[in-house]
Amino acid sequence: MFEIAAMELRSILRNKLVAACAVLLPLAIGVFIVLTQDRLPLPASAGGLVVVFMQAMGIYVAGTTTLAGRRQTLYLKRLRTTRVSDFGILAGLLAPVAILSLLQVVVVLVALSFSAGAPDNPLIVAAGVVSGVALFLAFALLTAARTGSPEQAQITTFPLFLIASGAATWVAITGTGDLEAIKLALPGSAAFQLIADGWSSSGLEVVRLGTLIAINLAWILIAALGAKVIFRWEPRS
Amino acid sequence: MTDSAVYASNVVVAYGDHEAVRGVDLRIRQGEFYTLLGTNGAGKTSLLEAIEGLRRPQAGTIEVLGGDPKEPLVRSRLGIMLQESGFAPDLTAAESIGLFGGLSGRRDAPSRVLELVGLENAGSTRVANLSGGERRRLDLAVALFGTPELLFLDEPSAGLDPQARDRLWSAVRGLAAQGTTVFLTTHYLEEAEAHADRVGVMHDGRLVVEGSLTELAARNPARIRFEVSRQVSADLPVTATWDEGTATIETRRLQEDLTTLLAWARERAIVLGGLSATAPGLRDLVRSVSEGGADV
Repeated sequence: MFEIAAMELRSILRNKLVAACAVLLPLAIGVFIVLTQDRLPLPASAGGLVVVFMQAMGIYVAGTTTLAGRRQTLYLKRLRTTRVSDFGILAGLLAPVAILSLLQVVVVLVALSFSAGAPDNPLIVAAGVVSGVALFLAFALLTAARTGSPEQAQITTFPLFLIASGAATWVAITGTGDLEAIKLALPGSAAFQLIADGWSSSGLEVVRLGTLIAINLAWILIAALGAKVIFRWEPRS
Repeated sequence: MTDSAVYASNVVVAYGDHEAVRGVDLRIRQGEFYTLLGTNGAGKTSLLEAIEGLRRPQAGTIEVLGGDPKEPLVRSRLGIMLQESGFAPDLTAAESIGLFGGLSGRRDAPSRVLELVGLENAGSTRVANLSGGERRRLDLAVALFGTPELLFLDEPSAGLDPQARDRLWSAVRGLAAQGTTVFLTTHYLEEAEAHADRVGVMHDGRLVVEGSLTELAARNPARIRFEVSRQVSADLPVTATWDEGTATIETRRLQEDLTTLLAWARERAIVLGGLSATAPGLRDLVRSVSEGGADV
């Protein structure tokens, strides 16, 4: 698995277009949110927005694109002739996008701490970041299962990208005062809310944190189980 | 079963409603060079990929080197050259060998296998810049890495030039001489005739004929062909079929019938134009199998 991840990372860095999509685009979105965070009605929400937008782009879209491309060129099929398990193959291919995204998110969140104040509870923020990583990896697997090529990934990832970033934006602007159940049930908003709660100590209730983590976990399970059923290792013949 | 390199019993592989492999039994001994022939769509690749553990059979039992082919310990003893598979285009040939060689669990030097397939000067070339034939050789190099105990080759010579083909066979023969079991599928009958200890022919999802080259050759008649005018043919001593002025005699007693024919021609001072006598070969067998006429 580590050998696959190391070569995947090398491959990403060598290909300028792929590297730009995986690094520059999410970073640009993150920087934009940090620069405009003082216009947000709820100041604590900037961190959550940064994470959801950057991960939706850097993990979900990039991960789906990676898997679709690796399947299309029959690289996945060759990897399956080795002694690495199916899980090891997928983990090896997705680890580089996850790590690259994590590094960028940390850099942008640190920058945000300087401009908007440090989070009250960094551990809960970290839990939100990790929740987002797992959520978008699971959805990348699910979406890649039905994505034939890297080009197609731009279309197939669009609905969930829109839902997750839309949900985070909706909660960031209107808060969770009304329609709370609907807002938090949307994929991505639980991770967003964990980070918002961690940033301002206002909502540090165990039940609420547990609920947010459980909602996120439920989405991860749905996506991962769905992927397990429909994932294909070879292009359709 | 454990003394077999490959043991398959009643294997069925289906895609939806279509059964590509319909109940195949197969046993390949350790150290044997086995070749699977058949027309396109006969089910060769589906059977091979089921045996390699890449495709789950709908029914049947498969044992490879005494175990489950998906088990990492078994996998690390297999060299697999698929009919089609890919590399990461941005990695070099040497990096690709290093990656897949390392993932095989065997030890070897990437430079050794690159040289074995004639790619010693392409180690630092990115896979995206290799030609189709060079990529095919890289496929082979990955399969040969670390001298596997069992080598699967799915149409390995397709797309290779004659020189690369020679290298391929010399490398594979070298491995076979060290005791590696080889399981080959091919369309090139001459490759089977040159290398195989045993040959199987698949048609329509079934393994319809199997045996050594000599055994298989004995299944079909030999053939004598010549051109002669129709007038003199009336008292031909053996039964022939005619196509324009060409006579074809199919016989299981080639030497006797040829002697009779030549004696007859000499007595009458008849010249048999374009005379040829052909021992039965795999081509006839495969053709008769694919036309559904094999006596199995």
